[in-house]
Amino acid sequence: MPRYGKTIYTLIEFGTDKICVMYGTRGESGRPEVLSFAQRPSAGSVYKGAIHDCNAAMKILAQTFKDADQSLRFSSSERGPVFFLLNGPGITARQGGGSVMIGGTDKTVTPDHVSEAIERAKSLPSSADQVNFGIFDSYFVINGTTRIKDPIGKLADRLDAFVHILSVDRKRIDQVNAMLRELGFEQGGSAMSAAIASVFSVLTYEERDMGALLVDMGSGVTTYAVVTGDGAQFSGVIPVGVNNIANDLHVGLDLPFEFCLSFLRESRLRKLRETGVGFLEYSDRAHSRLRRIPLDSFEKIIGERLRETFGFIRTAVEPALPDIGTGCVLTGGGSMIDSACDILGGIMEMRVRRGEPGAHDGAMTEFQSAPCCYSALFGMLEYALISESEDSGRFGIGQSLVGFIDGVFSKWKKTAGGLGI
Amino acid sequence: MNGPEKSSMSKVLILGIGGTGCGVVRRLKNSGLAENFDTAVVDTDSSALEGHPADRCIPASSDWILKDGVGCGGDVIRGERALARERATLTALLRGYDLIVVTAGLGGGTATGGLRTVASVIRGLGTPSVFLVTLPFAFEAFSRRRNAEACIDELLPLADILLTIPDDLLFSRLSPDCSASEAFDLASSELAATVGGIASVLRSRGLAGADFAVFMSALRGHRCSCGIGTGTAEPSEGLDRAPLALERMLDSPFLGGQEYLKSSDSAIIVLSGGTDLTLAEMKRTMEQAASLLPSQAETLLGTAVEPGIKGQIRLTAIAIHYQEEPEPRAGRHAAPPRRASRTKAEKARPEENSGSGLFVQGELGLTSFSRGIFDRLPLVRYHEMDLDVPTFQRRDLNIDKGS
Repeated sequence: MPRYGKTIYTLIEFGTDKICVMYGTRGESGRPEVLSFAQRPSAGSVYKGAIHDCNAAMKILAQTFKDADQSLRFSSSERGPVFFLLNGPGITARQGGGSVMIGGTDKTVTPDHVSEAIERAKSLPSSADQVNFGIFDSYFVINGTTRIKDPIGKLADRLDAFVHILSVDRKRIDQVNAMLRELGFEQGGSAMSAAIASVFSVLTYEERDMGALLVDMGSGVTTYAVVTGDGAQFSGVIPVGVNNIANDLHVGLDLPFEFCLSFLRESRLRKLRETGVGFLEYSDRAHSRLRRIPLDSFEKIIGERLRETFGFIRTAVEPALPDIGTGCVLTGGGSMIDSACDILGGIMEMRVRRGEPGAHDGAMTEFQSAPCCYSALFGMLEYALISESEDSGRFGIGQSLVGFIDGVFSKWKKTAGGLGI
Repeated sequence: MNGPEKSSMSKVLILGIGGTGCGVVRRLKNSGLAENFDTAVVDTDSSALEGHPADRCIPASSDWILKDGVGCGGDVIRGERALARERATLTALLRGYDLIVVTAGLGGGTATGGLRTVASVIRGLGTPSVFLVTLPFAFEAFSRRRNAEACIDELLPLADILLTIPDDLLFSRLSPDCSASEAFDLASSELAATVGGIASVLRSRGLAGADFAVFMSALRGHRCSCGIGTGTAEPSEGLDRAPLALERMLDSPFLGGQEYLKSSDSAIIVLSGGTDLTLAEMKRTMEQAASLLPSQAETLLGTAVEPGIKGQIRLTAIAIHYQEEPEPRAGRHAAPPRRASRTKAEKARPEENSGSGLFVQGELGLTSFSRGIFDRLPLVRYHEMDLDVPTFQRRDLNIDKGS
């Protein structure tokens, strides 16, 4: 039994901009509590959400762990299951389906029927080099006609279960597990999709139930997920992020890239518009002159990129549009760009709100300036805590994880038992 | 005269941009068609604004320092810069309206360059907008047509409704020996009548069966050419006003004729009249108008009673021809294929194989794109596209880098 008394989760994010380590648990209030957090710039070791330079990423991760461990009030041996976010291109999302005939005289769907249908749905074959790392309930259909969220207790002759399956090249998971083992995590860690993780921290229960599209625009990539009836319908990754928008400004207006990035992050376009001026005065030292750049040029470049990116998302989720009952939620660093919400609303023709992780306890100071940039990380913590609860009792993203998380827990418990904790 | 009934779009502004736009607003004011509207004009040519009857005249200078007011010489970048500079003034001017109707002729500098700024300001204010623009005649320079098309591409995502009217539709009315100046004059007067008609229809909520939102959804985001016809008739012209108004509508030069209406992909027809407009007249007129439309076209029909129109009836038709299959909006955002542009060597070379007997090897004029900070990083394709190349480059858009 850990001296701290609770399960402590270790959460890792390999982002294009930063590598983060967070320790979290369930706080006294029942809310997620951050025990410790550290981050360091990725410095090019991660590109488009995927690890590009393993050695460099390893060094940065080790330093980040060292920073995070400094404020620990518990022994590092008490660290519990490890989760890490998987992102970037190369992640495939598919819909799997499985059927089961309902026997018995009363034709009532039981939990065993549901488990069997889900097992069959998961058995969608994938290529030998791919591994399934995330399987989430989508929805159930009874008698081939009626779509339903919770089929238990319903009368039916046949039950179909549809699940959302995420798979990736197994080398990517092996690569991270090798890094974790080198850092002392003997059991490695469990991968989670960044696209789905953000759902847990940003969407309200009503939004997940009534249907919502979540878009998380990070530095290197933009992820999206459609959740309806508390089940995942679509998810995906577009290899475009805030860095691309800054790069467009850099190329289009002959401005330094870092200047363009800070221009976007500090919402300088909106601030300049509020002053009533129509241009930005930039001291071009290379050419020894003061240049006046119309703000409309910034708006045009940013607008074109955002419209294109959101247009791709619209095409990808077109079949699910009628199921989105509430609207879109935009999170991530990209949500801080002026006009991003407006453009997303125009493309999707829906209401849009900016999303941030919900309230958490603990060491939150680091997140106060831009909590939306950590939506996936907080989502991973919530995901871990949902599975910990024995009363989750609800079908959907939460419930279907139980079997998956059980596997993770049993590995950890074995190790903890062996260590006499 | 009694004031107009309060409708959801009681405060309407007609805004003219550039030379054509200013001319249209001038005609509207002089003919009395703009009685119930506010009007404003914006131009880089200060001489065009002198003595202009519009309620507000905004001069925009393409030179930020000199403020010379001599126009932008057909330069799109200068036109863009001029209106960008006046953005704060435009924002103050356009605030507080229920509907803004913008009119301009594309192909030159002021409107072609500046309309995007206007659309952006209107969108920022959250006001519904209708852009009625003309495309250059075929006999005008190719560059004007190309600039006009580029402007339309930029306006499509920003404008609620964008109606593009090819000036060439006027050829159905022009006589073969008509001069160019007469052609431009006719274009301007017809456009003025059209703008007045559209603004009246939208202001009076004339689309009783289909409100502005439905009107918008039929047109929003679609690249289309429109023919617009307006026909009016007074009781003094005969007992039966309706067929007369219909005939005049069909005769409108900007409608492109009955054939253009018959072959449209979508059509909107609105009948407006005063309080003496009878139900029988309404029914007969709309039935006759509807019979002119193709059966498979999507049609919106509506009627409106405007107390300000005493005795007159007005029939307005908009025939919409989609320029491409209305595709999912995101499809429009797919990058176009790289366009080959002529290299300097190619442009300098005299006509090859001109019969001199010498074969001159050609060159592929490929444009190189910059990937900026991603230049040395691996290529990550998405649907066969390299998204690290800036979007504006792949779409060949002009960007003003300032001066």
